[in-house]
Amino acid sequence: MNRITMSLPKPILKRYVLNHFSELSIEEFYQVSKRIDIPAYYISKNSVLSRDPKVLSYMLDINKNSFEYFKPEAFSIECINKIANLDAEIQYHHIDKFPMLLQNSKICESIIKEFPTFLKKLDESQITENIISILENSYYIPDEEDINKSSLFLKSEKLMERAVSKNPLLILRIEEPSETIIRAALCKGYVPEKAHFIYNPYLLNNNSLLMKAFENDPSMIVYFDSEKITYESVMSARERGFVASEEDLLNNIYLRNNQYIMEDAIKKEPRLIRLLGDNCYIDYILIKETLEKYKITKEDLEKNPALAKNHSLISLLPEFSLYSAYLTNEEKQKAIAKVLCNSHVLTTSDLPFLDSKFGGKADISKINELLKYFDVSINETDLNIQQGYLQVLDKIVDGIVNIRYTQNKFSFKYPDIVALNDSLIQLFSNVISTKNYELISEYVKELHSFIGESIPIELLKNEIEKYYNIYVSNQPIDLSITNEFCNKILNQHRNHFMRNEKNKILADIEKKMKLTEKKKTTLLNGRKISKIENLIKTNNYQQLGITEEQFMTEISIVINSIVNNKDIRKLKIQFDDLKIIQIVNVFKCYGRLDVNRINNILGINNSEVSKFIVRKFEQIKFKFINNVTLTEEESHISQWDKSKLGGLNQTNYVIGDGDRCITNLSELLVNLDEEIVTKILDNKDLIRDVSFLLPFINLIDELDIKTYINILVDYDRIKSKITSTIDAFENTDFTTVVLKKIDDLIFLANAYSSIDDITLFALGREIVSEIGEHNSSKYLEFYTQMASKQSGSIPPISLSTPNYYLESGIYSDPERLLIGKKPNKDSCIDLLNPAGVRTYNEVLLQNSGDVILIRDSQKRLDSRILLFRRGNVIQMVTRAGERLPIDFKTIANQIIQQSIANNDNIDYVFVNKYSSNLIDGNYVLVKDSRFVNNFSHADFSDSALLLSSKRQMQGFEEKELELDFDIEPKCSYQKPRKKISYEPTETEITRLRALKIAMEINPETKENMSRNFEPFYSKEYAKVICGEDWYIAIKNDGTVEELILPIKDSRILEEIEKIKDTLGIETKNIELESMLTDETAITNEVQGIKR
Amino acid sequence: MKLIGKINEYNGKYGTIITQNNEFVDFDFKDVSFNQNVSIGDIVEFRLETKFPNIKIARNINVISDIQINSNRLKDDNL
Repeated sequence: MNRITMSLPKPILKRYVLNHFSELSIEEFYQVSKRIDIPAYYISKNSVLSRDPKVLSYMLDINKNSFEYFKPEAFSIECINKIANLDAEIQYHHIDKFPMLLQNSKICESIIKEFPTFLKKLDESQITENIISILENSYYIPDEEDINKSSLFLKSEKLMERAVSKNPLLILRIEEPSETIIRAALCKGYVPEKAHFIYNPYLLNNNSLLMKAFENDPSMIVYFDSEKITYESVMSARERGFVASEEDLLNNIYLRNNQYIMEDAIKKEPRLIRLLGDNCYIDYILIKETLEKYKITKEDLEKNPALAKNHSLISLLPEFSLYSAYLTNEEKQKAIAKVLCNSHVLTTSDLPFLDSKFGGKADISKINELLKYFDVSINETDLNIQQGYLQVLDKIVDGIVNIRYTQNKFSFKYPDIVALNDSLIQLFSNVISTKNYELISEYVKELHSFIGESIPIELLKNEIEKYYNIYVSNQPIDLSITNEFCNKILNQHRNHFMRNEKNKILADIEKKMKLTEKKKTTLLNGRKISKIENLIKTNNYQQLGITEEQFMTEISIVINSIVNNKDIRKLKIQFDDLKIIQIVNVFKCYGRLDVNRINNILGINNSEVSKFIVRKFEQIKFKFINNVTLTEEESHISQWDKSKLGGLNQTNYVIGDGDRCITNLSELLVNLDEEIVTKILDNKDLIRDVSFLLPFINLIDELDIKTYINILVDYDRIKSKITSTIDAFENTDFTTVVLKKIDDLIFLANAYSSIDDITLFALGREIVSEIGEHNSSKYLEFYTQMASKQSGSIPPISLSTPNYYLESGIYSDPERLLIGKKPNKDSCIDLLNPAGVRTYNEVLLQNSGDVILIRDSQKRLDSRILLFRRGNVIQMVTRAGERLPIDFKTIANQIIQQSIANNDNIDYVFVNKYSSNLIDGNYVLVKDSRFVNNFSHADFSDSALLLSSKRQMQGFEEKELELDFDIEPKCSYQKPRKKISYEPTETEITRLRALKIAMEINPETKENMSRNFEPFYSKEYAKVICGEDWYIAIKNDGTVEELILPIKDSRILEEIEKIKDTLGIETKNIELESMLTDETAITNEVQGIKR
Repeated sequence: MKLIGKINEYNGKYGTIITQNNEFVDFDFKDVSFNQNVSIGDIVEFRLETKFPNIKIARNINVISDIQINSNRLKDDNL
């Protein structure tokens, strides 16, 4: 276009340009556009202009929507960004024509906002979080293609929910689908399959999915946890043909504890018995039959230690008894002793129970290291060595006697010189007031006996009378006068006590000692000789293994040797035939001769000769000693036989006994846990100081294995303490020191290993002595949980018989901790026994369990009956084989009566057949595997005797039983409250103080309270009243002290307020009120029935 | 009962405390509250237990500062 054209008037120019627009160059375009307005649509007519980005950019400044007339080539990044920034009106068709517009995120987002379906045009990089957010606010439902394109979809809960609602299988793309998404999928008809769970194990966390899958595929039970493996689910699976395979059982250990699953599996494949769970009680006959088809191996036990805890199984495998979780300590000791007889190294292959897998409590390598310090090989036949042991024992006994004197001192009639002096004053005063001088004689007799009659009674009388005379002359009788006398008396008493005590101890020790071989042989030979005598007397030569002829030949030989003896011949004693026959006849008649009879027969008075003849005839009997055997009864050496031997010495007894060493060492090892053995080995360099005591352990009560362990554990500390108190033993071998200070050793060992007084007072001395100090803190922790239990599903009972008192439901009774020690210390139902801890927990802590404590007429705990509730059934069980003279029916009736009175749904009370074979009476026997499977206790059989039922109680005939083990109890029973005590003992109050500390949760507060703990001393208080879990005490100065345990029982407030009213105390306990306000809200929901 | 004393001997495992009455009380590290570090010369408060026949043992041992000593003397710390 030339200058002339450009100078045309605008309208003409415009017409010209528009007519020739397609020929316009870019330069010309710029020129003309400065003069005239060119409609944007004309751009499309010019192929050059429409392709030029600069032109586009220019046109956009004029008209932001002019881009639609350009060709795609014109769309540079700058132009695209400009279009975006100008907010050009981009339509659906624009994107089709100009897909490059989507390169701009702003354009992208606005397009997607307007037209979400355009998402399909985006590539992965264009799908941003903003796009996702836009889509969430739209109606868009993503599909698989979208999800494949960008993983951002998976992070959007909203979008995925929509996606899954349309295509439920998309749930598999989500790593951790939420509950909402899962519900959406299920609503859409999603049926999960096993493969889905394998693909995404997270799905296993969702119950709904699992159960849905299970509806279609019974093998999904393999993914169930213990809670879902119920009777119903198992039966459902079985009905549809499910039988667990080895892989199933390996993948899910919970299946291994289900009776039905395992029975089916084992019937199909007997070797699967090796995968049995510890709590799976399958049919006894089936187990036996299966064991005939498959032999459990050691490897099976190693791979599945639960087998050792399965009582039904392991009891049928005597060859693996040492793996059993039910081994008693005694059995373990015997097994260890057997190994120690031949080896000084223990291995888990010899003693599997030492392996932690099978209950071992200490690392075996540490046990073996400890063994190196003990020597169990003792020369039992060397009398000098044995004498050495006797000297050591003597010193130990002296030390123990000292201990006993110290322990008993304050129980003596006169514990010290002050008491003795006071008794004299009292005596004299009584004599004068009663004018009865005889009282002095009685006193003197008593004193004489007190000192073991070691001072002549006359001397004592003279002394007492001397003091009496002083007294009547109105002079004071005090220690300045009587000191020497009193000290002499107490010393004599001390000597008397210690002598007596020593004799007692030695007599007791003698009973435990084994005889020397020589002494034993002598004793037994003596019995054999007696037996031979009897055989001779009864002419029973056959039993002697000889004929009468042979016997007579022996006699002839002896007679010849007597007659031809040169000393006898010198004495010219007449041995005519008659006399010889007489002697022989006496021998044959009585089996023996005696000196007097020989003298009479021979007409002599020479005991030497007669003794010679007697000895010679005795030798005949000794010739046959090996022909005679003693029966077991005849071989038994009783304590009475031992008592005639002449006392404890090395010729009679083996003092240093290798067998006892091994037994003691075995007991020591059985009582070790990791903590103890580590502490002992910390002192390993010092063990030799005290290892010599090993043969003497358990001979005397004060030096038992527990004390010995205490010595070993704290020996460094003890040694340091003892060393600090002695100066004269610098160069003395410490073994000598140990013997000299054995009483201090024992006192210190027991003191250093003793439990905290707070634990001791909280549990009580008797409980602690039963459970052992070492374990007390664990039991105390458990007890605080017991004490907090307020109600249960089993009604409490109480019953008195002439000899027993039975009681249940008193959850805070500390004696309940002892159900594993009564009636037998080896019960596995105990807190620290893995075999029985589940049962222990259930009966003492859970609503579904309880225990009846049985006490004798002296209120001592004798035994117990365990109670379990499942649904409408209560099952009782005693210890296996225990015969209790208790009327179980009365107990059962009490339970049913309470169930009726409280509208509860306990319909039946049974006693398990396992303990019921000792019960008299005709009861219906019911067989149901649920008597075993639905209970955690090991000692149940699948049969039980029906003792009582609602129908029976209500006078109806028993129809078909409707046992429902799963129904929820309708009622819970509140714990009965202990009566308020108006004169509680110091021990009771101290116990409450200790429990308050034990139950404190805050560690710092607990420490502070512990530091300030003191026992209760009643002399400091004017009045004290206590309830089960509180006390109020008024000090002598009027201060009121109140203590309440943190137990949420609303009845506490009532009790305390009542007492305070009575005492005229106005203060309110804010802490209690707020604690109980929370509890009231909870209590209102509980269907509690007060007793 | 609660007493105050000074660590007299200590080897990292056990030791003795000397009380204000010049009595020696044994202690073990396990009885030190919250495993505090204790050293010879530290002033401590503790609960005294007497084990038969007359062995004194310290429990719940707490190291205290001078300020605390004075404050403890004034406070009534009964249950």
